[in-house]
Amino acid sequence: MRTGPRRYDCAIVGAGIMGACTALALAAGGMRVVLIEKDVLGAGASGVNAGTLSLQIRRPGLIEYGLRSIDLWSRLGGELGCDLGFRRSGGIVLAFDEEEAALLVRQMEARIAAGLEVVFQAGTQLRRDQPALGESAVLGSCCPQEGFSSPSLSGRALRRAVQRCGIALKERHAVEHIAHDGQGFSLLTPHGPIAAARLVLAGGVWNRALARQIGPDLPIGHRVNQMCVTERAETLVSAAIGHVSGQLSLKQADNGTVLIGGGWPGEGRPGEPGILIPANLRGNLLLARTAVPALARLRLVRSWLGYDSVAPDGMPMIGELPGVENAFLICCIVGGYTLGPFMGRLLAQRILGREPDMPLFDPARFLKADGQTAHG
Amino acid sequence: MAEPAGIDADILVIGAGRAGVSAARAAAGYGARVILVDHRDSVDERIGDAPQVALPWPHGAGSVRRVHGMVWNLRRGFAVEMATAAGNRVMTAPALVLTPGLRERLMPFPGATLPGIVGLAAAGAMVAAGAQIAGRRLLIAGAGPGLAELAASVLRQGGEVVAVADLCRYSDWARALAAHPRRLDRASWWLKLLHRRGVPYFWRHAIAATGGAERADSVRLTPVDRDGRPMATGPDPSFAIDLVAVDHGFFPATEMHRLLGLAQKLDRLTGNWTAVSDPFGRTSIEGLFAPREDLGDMAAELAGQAAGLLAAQHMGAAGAGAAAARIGRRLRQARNRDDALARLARYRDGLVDLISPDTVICPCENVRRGTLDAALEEGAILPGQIKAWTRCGMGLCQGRRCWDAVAAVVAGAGIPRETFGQMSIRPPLHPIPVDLVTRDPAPADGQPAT
Repeated sequence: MRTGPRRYDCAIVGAGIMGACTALALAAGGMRVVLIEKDVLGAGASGVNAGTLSLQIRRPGLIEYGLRSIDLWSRLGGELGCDLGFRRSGGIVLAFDEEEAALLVRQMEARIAAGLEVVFQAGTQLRRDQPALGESAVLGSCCPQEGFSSPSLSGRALRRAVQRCGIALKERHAVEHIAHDGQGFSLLTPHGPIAAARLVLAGGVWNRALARQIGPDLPIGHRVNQMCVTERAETLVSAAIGHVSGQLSLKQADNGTVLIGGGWPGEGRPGEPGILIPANLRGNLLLARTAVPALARLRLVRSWLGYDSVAPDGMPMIGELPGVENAFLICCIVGGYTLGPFMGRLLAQRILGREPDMPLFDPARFLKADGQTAHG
Repeated sequence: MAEPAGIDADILVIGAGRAGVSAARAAAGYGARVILVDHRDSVDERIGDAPQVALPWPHGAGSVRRVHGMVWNLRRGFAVEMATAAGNRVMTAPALVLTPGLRERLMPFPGATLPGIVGLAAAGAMVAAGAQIAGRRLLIAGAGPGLAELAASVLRQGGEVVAVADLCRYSDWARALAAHPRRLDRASWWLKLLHRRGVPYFWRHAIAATGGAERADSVRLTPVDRDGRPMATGPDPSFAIDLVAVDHGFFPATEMHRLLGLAQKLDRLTGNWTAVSDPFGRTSIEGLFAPREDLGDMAAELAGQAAGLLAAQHMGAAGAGAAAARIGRRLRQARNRDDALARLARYRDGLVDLISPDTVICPCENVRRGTLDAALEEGAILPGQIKAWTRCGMGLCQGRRCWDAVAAVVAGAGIPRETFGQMSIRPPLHPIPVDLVTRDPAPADGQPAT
C-alpha cells in the first residue's frame, strides 16, 4: 500500500472543455490523470458560451482543425453515452446588401480553399429553406458542416465521462501555488498538495497567472462576450445564423429558445459577474432582428457574460510552456468550444510522446530570442 | 441606448408601495426632485403595494414625478432602464431608493401547477374587483390573519369557503397581534364569522396535495409542525373544490439589489434572503438606499421615510439627516412590535417534505423534483450547475418562483441554503420584448408621466 501522497502522471489545471478533453485523451493513452478545477467542471466559459460550432467565421488556418473538431463533437455524444444537444444543423452567414455580399464571397475564398464546403444562396433561395429569414438577407453562405451543441448538457456529459475514465476530478480545488522541482510539480490547494510528473495549464483566462508562477509571463488577455436568450418560440430557424461582420451568432435550441451572441463585449474582469453594456445588447439584437424579423416580438429572458482568453495574434496557444520541462499550456482558442475537443486531443498526443495529427500553436512565439516575453 | 447626458432627478425611487411612496414624499419635502417609478406587475406577484394614492406634489421646492415603467436594468451611478408605454427609457440620478416590495412564496406540492390554483394576493384582488366568486367552492391556505380576512370577504360576497388551512396556530396570531389590539379584534371577528358560517379552520395545516385531471377539483390537507413539516396523525381532511388560493408567506424582492452587487444575507427572523442595509436603509454602495419592507407596514413606511430623508441628505438637503435620526426610535419600536407578525410569513423549511419526486418544482420549465434529486445525487453543488443540469430557474421567471424550493431540496442533500446561495441575477430583470430594446429610446421627457 502506498504511504506517500499519490503522484499522478499528469495534473491538468482547469476543467473546461479543453482541460476535460485533454484529460480524456491522456487517460485513454494510459496516463493517471488528475483534473483540478477551482469551481466545478464546465463552470467557466465552456459552460456559458452560446454553443455554436462555427467554421465560416474562423480563420482560414483553423478551418481544418475546426472540421476535425466538429467530427469529434458528432461522435462525442455516442462515445460518452450522453445527449450533448449536438446538431449538425448547418450554418448560414448572411449579407444584408451588395457590398456585404461581395465581402462575404471574398471572405469565403480562403476558407473554401482550406476545405470548407460552402454554397452561396440568394435571398429568395435562403428564405425558401428558412422562411423566417428577413428580406434584408440578399446572400447567404451555407455550410452544412456547421452546427451547435448545448454547453449546459456537454458540461454534465464530460463530467460523467471524466469520472468514468478513472480521472481524479478535484472540483472546488483552487490551485494556490505551483512548485516545480525538476522531478515534477506540486500544486498547493486548500485541500492539500497534489503531485504530478507533468502539468497542463488549461485555466482559460486564469492561465496567465498560473503560468507566471513557474514560467514566462505570456501575453494572455481576455475578452468579455455578451450573450442573451429569448423565451421559447415556434420553430423559426433550423440553421445557425451569422452575419458577414462576424458580430452575430444566432440559433434556436431544441426547446424553442433563441440564443443570440456574436462577440459583443460586456464589461468586467474574470471572477466577476460583469456588467451588461446595453448599447452592445442593442447592436447585437438589431443585427439579430434584421436576420430574423420575427424575433422582434419575442421577449428577452436573460443575458450573461463569458470570459474568453485571447492571444495578441488571435491564434491559439497550445504546446510546451516555454522553459519549463514537462509543463504544457492550452488556451486562447478563439472559438474554443468548437475547437476544444480536437485541440485537447492534439495536446494529449504531444504529451504522450506521439506526433500530433496537426501542428500545435507554440506559445514560445511570444518570446523574444532572449526568452523574455515580447508582448504584454 | 447611449448613456444619457443629463441627470433626470436628484433621487430615483423604484417601487411605489408603502415604503417607496413615503421615501419619495419625505425626500421631496426636503427639496429633492424625485422620480418615482413603478410598474404594476400582475397582482399576484406584487403584494407590497399601497393603494394608489394621489400625491400632493410639488410642495416646497421639491417634486415627485410618477413614471410608469417596468425596470429591466440598473447600473451603479445610477442609471435605470425601463420599458414604458412610450418605449425604452433610461433615467439617471445620483441617489437611488429601492423599494420593490414583497413577493408571495409558493412552495410546491403535488398538483400545485393545476389550473384553478392562484396566489392569495391574486385571490384578494379578484375579491376586491368583485370577480365572480359566488357559486365556486374556495379553499384558502397560507399563514396568518390575512387568510381569515380573505375568507370573510369571500363569504360577504356570497362565495363559499370550504376550509381554511393556516400554517400558524392561534397563539402565533395572538402573539403577533398583541401590539395591535384593533387588528386582533378584527381578526377575532373574522374567525367568529367563519365559525358561525360553519367554515372549518385548520390551524397548523398545509395543503398536502391537490387533485384533478383538467383542473384542480380536490384538496387534501395535512397537519404540520411549526416548521411546516407534515405530520401523519390520521386520515387527512379532504375537500372538493373549484378554486384554491394559497401561498406560504412572502419574501422581499431582491433582484435589483443583487444586480447592483449589494450583499445579501439570510435574515434570522424571517429566513428570507434580504439585502444588507442598516435600519435607515443605508447600504455599502454610495447613494443607494434599501429600506426593509418585510417587517410590518408601519416599519416599512418609516424605513422608507428614513431612506428618503437620507437620500435627500446625500443630495445636500439641509436638515434631512437630522429628520431621519428623529425617526429612529419610532422605527425601532415599530420593528420590535411587528417582529412576531413578520415571523408568521417566514420561510419554513419543513414544507420541502411535501415535494414528492414527481412534483413540479420549477413551473416555468416543468422540472420535477426527481430531476433535481438526480442532479444532486450526481454531484451538482452550485446554482449554475443545478440550472444547467435540470433547467430549474431557466424559464420566464428566472427562478423568482422556484428558488426557495430548489434551495430547500438542495439543503436536504446537505448543502445549507446559506452556502448554496441565490441564483445569479442578470438583465433583463423581467422579460422584455426584443422590439423594445432595439427601438430608439424614448426621450427622457417625451411622454408625460401617467
